[in-house]
Amino acid sequence: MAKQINPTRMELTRLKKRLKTASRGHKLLKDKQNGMTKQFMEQIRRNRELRSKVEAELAVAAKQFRSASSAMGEKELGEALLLPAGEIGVVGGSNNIMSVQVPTLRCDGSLSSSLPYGFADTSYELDAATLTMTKLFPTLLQLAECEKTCDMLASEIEKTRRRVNALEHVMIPEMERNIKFITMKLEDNERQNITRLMKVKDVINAR
Amino acid sequence: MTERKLKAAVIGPKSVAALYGAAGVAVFEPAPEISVPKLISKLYGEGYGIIFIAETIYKGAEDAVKKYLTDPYPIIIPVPDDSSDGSYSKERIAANVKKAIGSDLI
Repeated sequence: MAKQINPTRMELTRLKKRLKTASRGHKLLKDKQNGMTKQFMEQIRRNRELRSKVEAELAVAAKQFRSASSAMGEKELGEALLLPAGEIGVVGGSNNIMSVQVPTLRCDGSLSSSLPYGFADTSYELDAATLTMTKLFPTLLQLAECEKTCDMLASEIEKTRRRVNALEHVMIPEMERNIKFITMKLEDNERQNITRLMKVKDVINAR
Repeated sequence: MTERKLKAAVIGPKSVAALYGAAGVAVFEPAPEISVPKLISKLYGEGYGIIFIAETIYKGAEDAVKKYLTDPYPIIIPVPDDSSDGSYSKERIAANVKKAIGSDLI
């Protein structure tokens, strides 16, 4: 509040410096927000496309898997998948988007096209489901990377927007009001001094 | 950040988990003795950087997932299960747009 501050030249200089910093910070944050929003919109479009693709492919794989289950029986299916398939290697890194560290993923080496079970007691539907899932895995990784990036960017944009709004609508106007108040108070003091000096001069002249 | 090897896991009911298991993703079925948030924490500790969770389970563990939102890893995303119709993932995308832009433009 303007009435709680010290109307001194020192305070005025300090406030002017703070206003300059706040204005610069506001501009930088606004630029950051715009940059992140642009990146976010690109990522969210990619996210929607990948989601639709993955869900469609997963539906196909699930259908094939259900067919395999009905053709082979639950027990036989469970036995066929008892031995886990070779673990898929994933290499994770990170990428910097407007100072937000987002993950990057890629498959380590080529995906195995061999099946983790024998052909004697299994159906071709199970082979198809397994191969569909193996082929889908790189897209699943892309989706995971993209969705996490979107989550992180959305949170960061929200935080930045709050900061920008706080600077724009609270801090900067308050500092400007305080500066105006101190300037007026100092000018008032100056006028009082001049009036007092004139009065003193009049008293001296009257003697 | 330097690159590192990560493992992928899926948490879900048998029908969902088996599908991913066939592709080489480690499978974890929810059990009464360990809650989903604890399971996520345990898996991350064991080097599982990517965790796929069946939608129905994910909905119940959203608060636990939020804890990992500020860090790049672990990546925890919902995947459709038998009972999902695809609307949840669309809602999540719309919620993200609303959070970032202020309204759902897309």
